Amino acid sequence: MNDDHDVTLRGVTKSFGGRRAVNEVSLDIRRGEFFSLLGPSGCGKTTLMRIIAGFESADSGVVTLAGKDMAGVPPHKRDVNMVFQNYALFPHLSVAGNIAFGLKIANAPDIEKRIAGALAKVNLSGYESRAVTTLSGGEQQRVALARAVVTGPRVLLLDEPLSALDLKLRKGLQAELRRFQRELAMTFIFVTHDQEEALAMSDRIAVMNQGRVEQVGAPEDIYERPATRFAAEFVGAGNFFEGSGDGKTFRTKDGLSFDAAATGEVVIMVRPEKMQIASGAGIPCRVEEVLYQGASRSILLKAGDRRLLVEDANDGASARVRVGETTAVSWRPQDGLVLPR
Amino acid sequence: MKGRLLALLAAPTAWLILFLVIPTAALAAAAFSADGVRALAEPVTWLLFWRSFRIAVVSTGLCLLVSYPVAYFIAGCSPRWRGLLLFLIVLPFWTNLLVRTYALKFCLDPLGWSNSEAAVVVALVQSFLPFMILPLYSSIEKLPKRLLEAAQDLGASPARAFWTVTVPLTMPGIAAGCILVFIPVLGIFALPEFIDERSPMIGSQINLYFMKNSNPGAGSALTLILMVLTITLTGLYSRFKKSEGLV
Amino acid sequence: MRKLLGGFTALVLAALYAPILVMMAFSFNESKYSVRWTGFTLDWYRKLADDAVLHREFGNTLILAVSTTVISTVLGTMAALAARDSFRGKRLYTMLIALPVMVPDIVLAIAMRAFFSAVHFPLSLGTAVIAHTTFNLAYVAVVVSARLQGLDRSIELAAQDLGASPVRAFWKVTMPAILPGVVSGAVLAFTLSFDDFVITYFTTSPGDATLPMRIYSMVRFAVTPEINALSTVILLASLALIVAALKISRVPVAGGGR
Repeated sequence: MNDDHDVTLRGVTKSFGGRRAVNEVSLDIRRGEFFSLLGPSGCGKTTLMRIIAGFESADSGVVTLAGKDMAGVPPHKRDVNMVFQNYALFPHLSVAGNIAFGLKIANAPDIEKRIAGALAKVNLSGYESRAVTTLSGGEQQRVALARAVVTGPRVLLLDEPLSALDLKLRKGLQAELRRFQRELAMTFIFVTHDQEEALAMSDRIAVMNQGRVEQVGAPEDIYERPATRFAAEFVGAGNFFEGSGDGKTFRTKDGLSFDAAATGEVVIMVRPEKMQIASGAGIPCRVEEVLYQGASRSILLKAGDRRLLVEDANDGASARVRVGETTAVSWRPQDGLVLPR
Repeated sequence: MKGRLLALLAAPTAWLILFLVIPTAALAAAAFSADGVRALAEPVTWLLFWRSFRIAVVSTGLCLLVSYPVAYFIAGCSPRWRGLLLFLIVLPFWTNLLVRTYALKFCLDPLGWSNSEAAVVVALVQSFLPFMILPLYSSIEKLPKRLLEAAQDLGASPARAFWTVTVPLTMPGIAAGCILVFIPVLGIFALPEFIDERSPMIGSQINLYFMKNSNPGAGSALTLILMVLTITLTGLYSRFKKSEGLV
Repeated sequence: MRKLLGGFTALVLAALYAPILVMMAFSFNESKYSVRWTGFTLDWYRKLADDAVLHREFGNTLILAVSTTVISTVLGTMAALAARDSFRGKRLYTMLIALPVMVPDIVLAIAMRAFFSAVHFPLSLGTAVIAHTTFNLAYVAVVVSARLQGLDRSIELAAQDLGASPVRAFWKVTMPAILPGVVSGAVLAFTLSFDDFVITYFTTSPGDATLPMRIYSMVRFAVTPEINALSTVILLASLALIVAALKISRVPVAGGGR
């Protein structure tokens, strides 16, 4: 059973000056997985990653790599490599020198060949003698990647590697990274605050908040079936209704009501893309703003004192609404997700 | 604009030409007098240069060995401690070297630890520590911590990371510190006279020629050689600094 | 590991300060042959107070330091300002200014002495001032240059754009901005001159001696606790200067305009 998991964490806790950065985190990361730690800044994902790499030691809990307890094991003895957020390339070494760094320490044979191979894999063939300070951001990121994987570590940690790049470059590199990971069949632990990125690239995601793991699961699971309010709010957008239901109708605190199978005092969330605007049945509302985004439209509605967000694909299927129009919004009851208070 | 530039340039340039360039020419003239040439022909002169060079190299090297750990430690302290420690290190630099040398002599004499070349080296190292520690500290402090983490992450033990990453990247500080110590030490004269009269350096010999032997020609000749030597070294250092282009 | 480094640093600091503290302590020692402590006395300090020649030497040191500070600060600041623009021969110019820093001070001292001898100009405190100024010019220029580098030149243009003549723009805008640097340079020049021995030794007349020269001759002649007392006084004077300099540099420059 342990063989299947490259990294296991049990009850890992770490505090800095009285504040718990990581709070009783337990995770099992499978071999060959693309696993993301997702959360806002300050949620503890970076600290957790540094604990796995060995740069911080947990106050309590167990960290095992490939079945071995990592307590007291320094970073240079762990079979984990990291791609740093600002790449941390050695300025006094060439591209080849950077990539060879780990190989030299391991006394690996055929260093030159392996460097060439690594560079080819990241589409930087011929860059061996380049100075790292002359490379663009995207090129530096790829050298950092090559440097980290060339020694064949068991686990690769990536600390928000795409955050310093511009949008178009990011999207392109996301796909490349994913393909890269599949080719290497290496376990990737990817730290990010960008939920779109995590959803697009991961096999599984751990949503973190204030040091705790709120939910672990495949991207669709987290998006379609968020377990907590935080997970629902952080991953994707949502319209939240607090109120109570009797199994047939749900009444919110501010007087709206709609069909729902929920009972008791709960929160119901509806994703913006699951709502439809059509005059007639549904919650009456007024169109406040229409934001055109090319492939879709974001429509802001006012229902009573409340604002609702609806996403409409520009596929010509739904009718165009205009600002100021009075209309109604509705959704299928099963698209209303129940969340604990 | 041009007129203003000229006005600004005029005074300092005039001063320097009058009181730097011309004196250098006067020095050269005095050096090439009969006395001067004779002094240069004597093998004793060159033995003296060799001894001074040797002492300067050893002192600079030892100073580096002692200073690096101190600079490294201070760079890793919290900002408050850093400020305090740096202030303590720099304070002696602001005081009279002669006074400090006398203080050293005062302590070494009763212990019987003066009157040897080793004592001179120790005194030199102690006196010039601030000159070495400051540039070292500056260089070490600029080193991104992430680079050391990256090195360890890739498998380098802390010792290996130190030699393969920290030392190469703090070379600019090391070079600067060495130049800042070596140049003045080469020409120093009161300190060796205080600590060990019997092992003179170039500086004390120049003093001897001028003040005791009334031989300004010889003194000037020695000074000229010293000048050429040190300018060459500083020139080489500047060139080395530019080509590396490190932070 | 940090503990080891910390201990080593403490050792180095002790090595730096112990001799000074010991020397200062023994300035109160009764015994002339300063090996053992025989009793507390202020005699050696009294001797200093009674020494009229010493007072004159102290005066000389001050006159020298102040004179050279004034001249070298002005010249050094001008040199730094000129170095902002590019002009033909700038490299040579920068090298010339940097020359005094590239060689041991004895080289400069002897060159000045050779010069004064060649033009048959008798040595005096004045020649020492000239020598010191040449030396200090470089340091002031470096300090002010550093300050200038961080300065945005467009504020001068803005002042001119608002109607100030170039000269007025300089005095009202540039000067206040670089004043901390100029003050630092001046303090540096003063300290270097006050403590200087080698250059003064070779460029002044025996009648116009300074405090450091007195120490030198005392040590060469006979070592007595009087030297300890004098050294202690000089050290404390330096310390007072440093504290004063720090206080001055903390004072915000008035009229900077915020």
